[in-house]
Parts: sequence; structure tokens; C-alpha cells
Amino acid sequence: MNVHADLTPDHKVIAEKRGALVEFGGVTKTYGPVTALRPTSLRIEAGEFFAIIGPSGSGKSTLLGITAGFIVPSAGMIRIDGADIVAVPPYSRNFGMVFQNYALFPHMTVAENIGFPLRMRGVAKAEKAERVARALAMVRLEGLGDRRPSELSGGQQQRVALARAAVYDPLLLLMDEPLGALDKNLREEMQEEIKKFQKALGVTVIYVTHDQQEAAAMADRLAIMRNGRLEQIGSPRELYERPQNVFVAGFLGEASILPVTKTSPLAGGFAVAELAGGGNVEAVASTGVGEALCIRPECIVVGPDAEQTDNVFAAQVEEAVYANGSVRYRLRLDGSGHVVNARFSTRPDLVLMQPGQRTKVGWARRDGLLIEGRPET
Amino acid sequence: MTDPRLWRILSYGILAFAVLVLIYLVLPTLVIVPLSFSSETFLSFPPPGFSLQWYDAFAQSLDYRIAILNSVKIGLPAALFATVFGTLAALALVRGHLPGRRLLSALMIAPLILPQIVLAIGLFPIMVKLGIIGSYAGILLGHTVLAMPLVFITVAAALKSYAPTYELAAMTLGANRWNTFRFVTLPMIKPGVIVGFIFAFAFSFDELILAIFLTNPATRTVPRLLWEHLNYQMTPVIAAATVVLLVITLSMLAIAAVYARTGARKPSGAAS
Repeated sequence: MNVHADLTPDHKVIAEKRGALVEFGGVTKTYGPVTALRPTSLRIEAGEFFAIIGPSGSGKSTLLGITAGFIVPSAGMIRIDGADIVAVPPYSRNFGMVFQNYALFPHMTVAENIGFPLRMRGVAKAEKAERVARALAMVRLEGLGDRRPSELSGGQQQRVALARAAVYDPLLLLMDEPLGALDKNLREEMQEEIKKFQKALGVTVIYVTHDQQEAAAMADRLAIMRNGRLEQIGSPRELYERPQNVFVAGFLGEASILPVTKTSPLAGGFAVAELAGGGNVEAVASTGVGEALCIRPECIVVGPDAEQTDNVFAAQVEEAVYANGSVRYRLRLDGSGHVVNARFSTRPDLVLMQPGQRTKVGWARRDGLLIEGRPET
Repeated sequence: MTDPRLWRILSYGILAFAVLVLIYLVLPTLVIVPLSFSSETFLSFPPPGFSLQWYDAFAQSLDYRIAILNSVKIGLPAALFATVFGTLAALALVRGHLPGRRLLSALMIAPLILPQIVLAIGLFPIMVKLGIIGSYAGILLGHTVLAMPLVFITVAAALKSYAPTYELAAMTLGANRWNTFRFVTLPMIKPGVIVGFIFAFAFSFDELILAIFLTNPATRTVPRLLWEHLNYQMTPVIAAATVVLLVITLSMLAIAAVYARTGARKPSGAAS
């Protein structure tokens, strides 16, 4: 990693500061009879980039609002480097926050916006000007300090918001769908930029988004939320390759999730499961042997090679979609009638199968996971 | 209905109707203007000849001079109080989490909807009892109550025009509640506050019913003086005074309109 290469020595000084260790202990929020956040305990390491993803109404914004201090939790505590901050008002928490629509003050110039937190902290004029200039340089907006936010593009506004939230060296940076308002190409560019920025500052980041690809690309670890509950926490790879339940499996990527009726254990952590509708498969018995089988699309082998795998089925191609060097097949298994999705890279000489064509489908038993929950049909 | 000619005739018809409505709204107000230049000694229409004598009489009149001073002395503090309290009420009811906010909002604008005579009759005995009938304080209180809804409406509209995210952002950046108000909320709602102040002053400057009940000859305002003159002497000096009043009020409303426009442009530009 060579993230410091293009930073001036000033920035290296900042980089030596570390972010805060954040601990949530039984944090809960109820509104009358409605539970927005079930008791949540979570430990986010100092300097970690932690993403929270989930559909709207899953409680991720509530958790972020509680951390920022906008929402008072019904129970529980939040510790920053060991000190409980639940009773501390938002303006004394010394966290940075980037909002989805940036919330740049329209009546102030870019420099005044970035200088605002320093002004609130009583920083002397000369030092303030210097730090604002440094922050502008860090987000590559030199010379735009006198503009109004409305005169900047979306990406530039986003960078101003980032500079404003970081100019006072907060220990924790909260981000609420910060790239939600940008178009796809700019979003990918900003993902890299934010990641670089976070590495340079060494700040702890809690990043809320509903975009699972964005979260997976940026975060060290991520948590998936649903119905006010943390469903699973882990690195992007862990969550993708070892989902514990149907919701997590379905939320990340496009898994094939098939219902199973009966499982019986085998040696070596494997189990035999009977697919609903007929057919036996061998698969990895995860911690909780459940009612569903999850297979990732890139693990499924299609064509004559499928014969070599542990679980082989005859199937019919239902749909073939080509996109940018990869092909995705939707295949219906004979007998049980379940649908599996397969995806692999193509080469120019590869002949694609057509809908209606008959073929073989299979996967290794180590690529099938028995997980909790009932698949949606 | 798809015949373009029919549509054109229809649109001309609508335009003509709109012009008629405008004439109907504005013309009676403007009839007073030629009357004020009349050479006749009583109000008659059309005026027989042109003269500036009534403007001269208006300028010379001590009664009018005192009344104008009274109107300003009452209007400015009434507008100021209405602006402060109206703004505070709008903040509490738009941004706060009070229970029964809808009912309270309705109560806030009630003085605007209820007949002013009801308030005047109610205030009269109370002020007699308090011994402030006829004083500046009495009419000031009355006008503040009536002007507050105007400020409340303009400031509430300004607050509703942007998401409270700006205030949340200011707080995360280290601004306490007062600094958040001073550096973020107030600048964002400034056009609404200024327009509300102008409306409140214009209202007090034109108000008659409370002035009849609550002022005396020493504290009477311009509208009350005009009304008294209408009862006793029908000279065109009334018309001249009215035109002056009209010009003042219209120019204040024009300022308000300009402020409301420039104010509306700024936040919307940032939100896009």
C-alpha cells in the first residue's frame, strides 16, 4: 500500500493520529410500540472502515443518528475510546459527518463552510485560513474557496463536505449515503478518493449505505441490518462466501438459494440435504444447519465439465445474458424445477448457449452452503 | 376540442377575462388618485380640474403629521415584536417536537382569520381596566397580536423550504444550539423574517378597527384620522393622504416581493 505517496509532509503528521475505538453496548431505540433498533452490540476498531448496509427501514440510519447524537437511545451505551458519550450533545462529540445531500451551507462560500467548524472552536484567523487551505488542497479544490457551494458540481460539493467534516481532525467520521446523489462513474471515482482520504487521516469511519457493492469495495468490515437488527458482521469476503442466513446471502450478489427439506450430517463438516421437490445434494453444514442451500453464481459449472462435480443435475437454459465479458445463465433443474444462476467470464471464441438448450449443471460440495432461513419463492 | 383555432379563441377569452378581473381588483383603488388632484373642495368624480392644493394642505396639516408619526411609532415596535415572537413560534412549531403542533399552528394564525372587531371589543374593557386605553402600549399590544400570524406564516414557509439537515450538520461541526441558530438557521430564513417584518409594519400602518377602539386623539394613527375626516369633512385632502399611504404601502410590498424572490433563489440553487 502506497497511499501516502502523493501526500505532503503535513498530511503525514495527521496520519499518525489514530481514529477512535467505538463500542456499542446494547444500544436500543423504540418509538412507543415500534422498535427501530433492537439491542445492538458492536465493536469497531480504531482506524477501521466499517460499513453498515441494509434496506431502508432496517435501522441503519437510526444507529448512525444515535452515534451522531441526533437520536437519544432508549437504552444502552456508546463508548469512544472507553468513555460513554450517550449524554454528550452532538456539538461536543467532535465527530465528523458527511450527509447524503452534503448539507453545505448555501449562504457561505466554500472556504467559510470548511472554516465553520474551526470558527466554532475559536481557532485564530491565521491558523484557520491555513488549515482551510490545507483541507482544500487535500480534496484537490485549490482556488475554489471563494465559490458558493451552488456553483460547484456534485462531486466537488461532495469533496467540500468531506473536507469540512475532517478539517478539525475528528476521531470518528460518520457517512450517511455520501455518494447516493452522484452518478455511477463519479461514485466509483469518489469511492477510491474517500478510501484514500480515510487511510491518510487514520480516522475511524462508519459508513451507511444501501449499495452493497459500494460497501464491499470500501469497507474493512461490514454489517448487514434488517428490521432493526444486525444480521451478520464480517469482512466483505466473509459475508459473501459464508453468509449465515438467507437474507444475507440474498442481499450480497446474486446467489441461488434453494429450499431443502431434510439434512443429515456427513463426516468433515458436510451434510446431505434433500432438495424440496426431489434430489439430494452434498453441501457444507454451516453453524446452523437450516432450510436453505446457497450457491454463488461463479461456483456453478455448466456444460460437460459439470459431470466432474459432486452435485450434478440435468437442466434447461431459461435465459442467457451477456454483459462486458461475462455471461449469466438462468437454468431450471430437471425434476425439482428449481432455478439456479451461473456466471462466468467469456472469451471471444466461446459459443454461448441459447434459451431452451439442454445442458448439465453442477457444483462442488464445498461450494454449497446450508444456511438458516426459508428462501423466498 | 382538437381544433387549434378553437383553442386560440379560448385562450384569448381566458386572457380577456383575467384582464377584466385585474381591472376590477385594481381600478376602485386607483379612482382615489385623480380625486386627490381635484380642484373642487369636496370629493366628486370625475374631478372638474387639476390642482395640487390638497397635497399642499396635507403637507401643512399638523393633524396628519402627528398621525403619521403615531403610525410609525406604533408600527415599527409592533412589527419588531411580531417578528421576534412570530419567528420564535415558527421555530418551535416547524422544527420542534411539541405535541399538538397542528392545533397550535391553527391558533397562531387565528387572529388573522377571526374578525378584528371581535378582538377589538374584547381588548377594549381589558385595557380600560388596565388603564392603558388610548396609550401607545395598548394599540401596540393589539397590533402585535394581529401582525404575529403574518410573520409566523412567512417564517414557517422559509423553514419548511429546506431540510433540517443543515442544522444537524452545524451541530456535528461543533455549533451549539445558539450558534446553529445564529450562523445557519437565521441566515437561511432571513428573507422570510424580513418579508414578515414588512408585512407586519404594513399591516399596522393600514389598520383601522383596533385604532378606532384603542387609540385616542393624541395617539391616533393615519387610518383613524382619515376615517374621522370622512365623517366630518369630505375634502380631497383625504384623497391626497390616501394616495400617500397607498404609495408607502405599495413600495413596502414591492420591497417585500424583491426580498422574497432573491431569498427563494439562494437555497433552491444549493439544493439542486
